[in-house]
Amino acid sequence: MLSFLLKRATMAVVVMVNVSIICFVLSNVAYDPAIGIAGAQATDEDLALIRQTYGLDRPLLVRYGEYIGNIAQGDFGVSYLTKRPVLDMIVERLPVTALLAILSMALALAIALPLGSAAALWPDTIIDRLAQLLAVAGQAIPNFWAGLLLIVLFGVQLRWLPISGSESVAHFVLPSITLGTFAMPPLIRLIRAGMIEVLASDYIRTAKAMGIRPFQITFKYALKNAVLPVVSLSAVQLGFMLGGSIVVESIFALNGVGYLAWQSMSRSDMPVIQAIVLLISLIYIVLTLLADLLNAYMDPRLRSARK
Amino acid sequence: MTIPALTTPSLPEEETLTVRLGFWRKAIAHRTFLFSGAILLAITLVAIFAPMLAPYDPYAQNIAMRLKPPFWHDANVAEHLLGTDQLGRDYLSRLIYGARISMTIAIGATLMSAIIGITLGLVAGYFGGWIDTAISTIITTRLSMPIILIALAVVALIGPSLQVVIVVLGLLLWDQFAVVTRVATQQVAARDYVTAARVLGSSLAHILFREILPNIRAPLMVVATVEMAHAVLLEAALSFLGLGVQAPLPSWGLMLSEAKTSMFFSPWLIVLPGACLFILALAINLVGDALRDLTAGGRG
Amino acid sequence: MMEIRKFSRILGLCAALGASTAMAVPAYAGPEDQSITLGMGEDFPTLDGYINTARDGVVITMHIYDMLIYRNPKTFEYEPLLATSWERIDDRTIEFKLREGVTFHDGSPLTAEDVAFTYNYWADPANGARSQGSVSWIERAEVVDDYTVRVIAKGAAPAALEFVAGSLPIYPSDYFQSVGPEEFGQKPIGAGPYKVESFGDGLVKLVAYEGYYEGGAKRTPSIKTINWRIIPDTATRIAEVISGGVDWVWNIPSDQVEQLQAVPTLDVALASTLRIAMVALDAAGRTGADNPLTDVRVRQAVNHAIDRETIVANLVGGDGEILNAPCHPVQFGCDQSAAVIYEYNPEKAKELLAEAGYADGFSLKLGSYRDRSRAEAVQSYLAAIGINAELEMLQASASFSSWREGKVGAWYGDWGSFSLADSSASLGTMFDGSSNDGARDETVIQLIKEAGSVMDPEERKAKYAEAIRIITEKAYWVPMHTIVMGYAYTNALDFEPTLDELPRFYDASWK
Repeated sequence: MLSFLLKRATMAVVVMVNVSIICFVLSNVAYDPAIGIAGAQATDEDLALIRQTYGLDRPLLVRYGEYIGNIAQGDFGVSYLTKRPVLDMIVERLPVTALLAILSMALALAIALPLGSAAALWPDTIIDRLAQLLAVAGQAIPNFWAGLLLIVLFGVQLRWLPISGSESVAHFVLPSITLGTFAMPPLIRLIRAGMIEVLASDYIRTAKAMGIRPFQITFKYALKNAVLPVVSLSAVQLGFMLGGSIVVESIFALNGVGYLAWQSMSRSDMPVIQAIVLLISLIYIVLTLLADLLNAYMDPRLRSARK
Repeated sequence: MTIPALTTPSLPEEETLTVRLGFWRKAIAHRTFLFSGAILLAITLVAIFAPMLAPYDPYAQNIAMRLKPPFWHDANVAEHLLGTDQLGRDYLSRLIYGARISMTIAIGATLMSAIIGITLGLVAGYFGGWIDTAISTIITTRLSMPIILIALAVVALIGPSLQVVIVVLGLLLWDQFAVVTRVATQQVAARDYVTAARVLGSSLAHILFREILPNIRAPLMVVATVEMAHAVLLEAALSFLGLGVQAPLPSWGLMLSEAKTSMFFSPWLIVLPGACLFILALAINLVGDALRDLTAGGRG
Repeated sequence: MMEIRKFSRILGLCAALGASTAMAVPAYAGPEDQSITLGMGEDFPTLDGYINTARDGVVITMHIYDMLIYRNPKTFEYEPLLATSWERIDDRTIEFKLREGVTFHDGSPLTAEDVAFTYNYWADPANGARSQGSVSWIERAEVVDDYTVRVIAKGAAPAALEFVAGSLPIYPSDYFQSVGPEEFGQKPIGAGPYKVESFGDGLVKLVAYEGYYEGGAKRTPSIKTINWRIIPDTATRIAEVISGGVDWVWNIPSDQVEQLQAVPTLDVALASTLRIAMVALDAAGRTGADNPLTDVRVRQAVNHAIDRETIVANLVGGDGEILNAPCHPVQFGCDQSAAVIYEYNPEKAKELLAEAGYADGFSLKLGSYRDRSRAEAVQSYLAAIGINAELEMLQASASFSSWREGKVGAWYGDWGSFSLADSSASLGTMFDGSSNDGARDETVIQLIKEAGSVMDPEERKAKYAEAIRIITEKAYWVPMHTIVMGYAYTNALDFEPTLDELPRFYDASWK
């Protein structure tokens, strides 16, 4: 168990270092930070001066070390545009994005869990067909298109729901449906496949033979075991959704991290972009690590060795 | 760290020519495969023969004829079956040429990512040890970074164009190829014929690409379809956000972005290109599902 | 410890968001509590009126702050605001008598000290006023007594009062100095009809300042609360106004305004403005010393290639008109007849290109914003004569920057002249050798400078006419058209658009 823990944690750290190198290259090599700091009308002398004062003329390795050191202290840099600490800008907007991601995930699970289980219980019935159709269609629908259609239908035609902004939870309904559709298909597939596998396993068959009621079998034994991989996938999907929020937030004018990222792209505000990439990656790494540990804890077979 | 895979490779024990013949026999009887395959084939043909099929030049603007509705609408003008866009360009012609862009990007990006991913996966799976660990780290790094954000940032830095989109997506979508190849290679590498080839002194390239690769073809085809659909939708999203294919190219995603302000009073302008994207991605995914079904050897 | 504080802040915000779930009441009311919700397009990082100079910024500035004087948008006459009277003492000096008893939003009195401080501070280029043209004419401001202040110009400054009325808000000197410019931009205090209650998360909340003085040119507000929502996406703004999520929007494309007319709850307007649109060309070679646009024949070809008549008839709407000179016909000194006119003639354009050695065309970058259809139409006209224009659509300020920084060869942008009815605000800021100026023609720069520093109107007109002749002859721009501003608002609102493109919500009221 301890070696398993160590192995996973080491991997996570190495991956974090890799991500930080990519982010550093993105913001310091692919784009000249001197231009970003100096702004629009800088002359060559201005740039030279800035390179000197900010130490941008030092070797890349030294600058990378400094970059890592700053991040370790919670300093992710300063926005070229607003001149504010990047972390503050992101933290201000994180609640909106976090709420959007959580609501979308909840929505996706609320549909995927019962539908996936039902599909596994009654394979090749209409319910199973519906589940598979939803999984395939949900995967193929461009989510920005779905967002626009939802705005036209529920926002403008029917006027049931607010269209943009983040003032109340009602404002999150349309964006969450849009983003949830994107997260749902793999969940349905996984739950269905997992349940089928568990239902066919020996101990469920034994339970059936012992006369335990099917309802109990499904919810007490099968679902509990089928849910393990779902935890992993949910963590992964949550990470993906932070990336997907860029499209959804720009359509619904949600003032979250994704929208900040999109704005920063068009203005080449590299410190903001690299910090967002870094943070989303960190969140993903931590979530997957936690999911792995949770899995290992709940599933003794995983504790000893990895397949 | 577990690497999440979209498909779990399940290999037939010893695949032979007869199995392949069996595949086509089964395929012809597989309704989903026939149906989605036909749609995909049709879209491919439309893309290839676009200049012959399109009634107008998709770039020819006629501003006085702008925003004409499609045929199911009373105000339709007969010359333009699906109406015209904001600049009076024939919408049907633009949709037809749009298939070209989507298919080019889907195939280009998938080929590129397949080459990267399969190579990495073969090497990692065959050699194992620290090479495997190193490559697994690279794969996990790639998985931990949000694709769309990285793609947008890189495109914003380089400047958007069709070629840039293909290359950026190609450099980002290789992870599942690598994951699946790696696992499948680990399984195949232990088999007799690979050991035999090694003992007989075959070159490494021969073993990897002639002995192993043909035997893991089936799961890779499934991954390829998943990534093609992925590339189609990502290109559309990038173009929709203004950092993908650029005007005046009729990318379906860009057409949605151009039509966005007109969508309340001319809804067909967003319904049509969106539906095209949906149908294409759906067809590709269904083909993938059918392939998984057909090659899984009775499972799933 | 920083992290812990931040983390608890996130938790707090999550809780707050969760709490708002409980009661899904409509976010904002309307006539009942005298509030209005606006859907604005431009995002801004600060409320500092000298930094926040994009159009939406100018509008919010005039609600939070007062200037010394006011220009009536109908008569174009100056009227008293913070100053009750003013006179030119000599060519360079104007003396203002200030209104007594005026207070800032924090209750402190407004005196000559505040005016002098504000002018002197921003006249210093080191303090980074975004639009240097508005302040660079000021040499200094002097306090004469508590309620008298003198503004001394560097030279003759014929357009000085335009800037005083249009772009020089008065700040409280004590508060500004104690918090510093950054903090001031987040929590500003002015002497205007509205004070800022909150700013952030895409929303500025303004409430009427109860201590606002009577008798100035601005009306005491009838609408007590303004929810200034920032919704950059045009489609979303349209959706919100149709569904009633916001009460008022602008920057709506004219064809959509015509359609919105059919919505029974809405009033719409297509109002003329002082804003002019142009395709500015990189004649000075900022994108590359020998780029094709440095050849006058290529620029003339571009002028001949674009069918402005069709664009104006179909894509501009309202009373939009074709421009021939690089300024607005309403502006003083903008003599359209001085311009060389290029008719739509793609054949001639191709000949000119061939003559210049570009028979096979060339590629360039075309930057634009505001209206994608118009930009794509221009792109298509250029393609017809063999010029492959890579279109770069951005948000307004980012697009403007790409032109100023010489990243695009051609820029289909527009210029609102700070709503000033004088050519010094159009010609004078676009051909003055500043970063706006893609021509950098020494003769023109000289003419502009002279026209901006002589007082005799006839002489000024003659100088501007000469500048217009040279600019159009050398085809530095394709002067395109005037901009028509599209508004849509709930029909319960009494609102009237003005030519100066500065919506006044203190003048608006609920019916």
